[in-house]
Amino acid sequence: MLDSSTEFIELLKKGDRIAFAQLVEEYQHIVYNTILNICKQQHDAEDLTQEVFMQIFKSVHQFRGEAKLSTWIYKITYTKALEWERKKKAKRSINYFKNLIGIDHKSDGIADFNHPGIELQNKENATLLYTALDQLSDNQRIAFILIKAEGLTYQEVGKIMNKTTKSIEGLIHRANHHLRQILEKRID
Amino acid sequence: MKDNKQIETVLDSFNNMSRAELSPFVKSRILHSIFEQEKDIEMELPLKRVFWILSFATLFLFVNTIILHNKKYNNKTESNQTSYKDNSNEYYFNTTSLFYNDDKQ
Repeated sequence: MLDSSTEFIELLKKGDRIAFAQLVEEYQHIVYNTILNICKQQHDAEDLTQEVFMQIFKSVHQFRGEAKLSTWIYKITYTKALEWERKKKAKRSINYFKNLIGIDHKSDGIADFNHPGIELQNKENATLLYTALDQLSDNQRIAFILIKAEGLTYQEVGKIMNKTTKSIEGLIHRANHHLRQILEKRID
Repeated sequence: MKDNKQIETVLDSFNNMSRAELSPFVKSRILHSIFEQEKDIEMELPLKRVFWILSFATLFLFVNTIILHNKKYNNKTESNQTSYKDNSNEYYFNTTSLFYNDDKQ
């Protein structure tokens, strides 16, 4: 990982092209997969990944090196994904009214989402889990995705979300509890 | 009991999830957009300076024009007032002269 290298960060701050190409190569997976897990649309996830890297390029001079580079990138990534989701929700409510007054609109295709990285035998269960995750609060959902899908520790997620490890534990506990309740109803 | 096991399986369905790959096309698009943005930022700085210089110059000219216009207007009204006075004097003078002439007649 390039995280610990202060030289690398200095190069990024200077706008070094090779360093940026290296950054994209190294972090594209975490950015793209986190976004994909939150917004559940491949095409939009690609566009958002581009936006995240552009944002990193714009604001890398503000990175003070207090946290790991990956922590900072995760923070930008999930903030962008939530922003996108809020816009999408607003659009969806407009579409709902359009539908009410009889103007057709295209479906956003979230219902049939399947993450390409999920094993074949888990696909059906994962679709159920994604649908259930939509009913959680933003914080619970983000914490759950970062821990279960990204494999981060409670401490790392705490740093990303500006929360203590204890509150992340609480978030995950409540998320699991809610998910069980939702899934019980669905499986019945 | 069976339900609980199923729920646990669903909750664990993200386990062993491998990471999705971005296509090389998207990667190159990202790099291209970053470097295009770099160009924009490089262009932005001198353009911003030109913009501020032009806006200050316009503001300066505008204020100057207003001040000059006000000065001219003030001068004009002052001169109008004197000419009016002069005219009245003339008129007064003329009437007296008329009077004088009348008297003479």
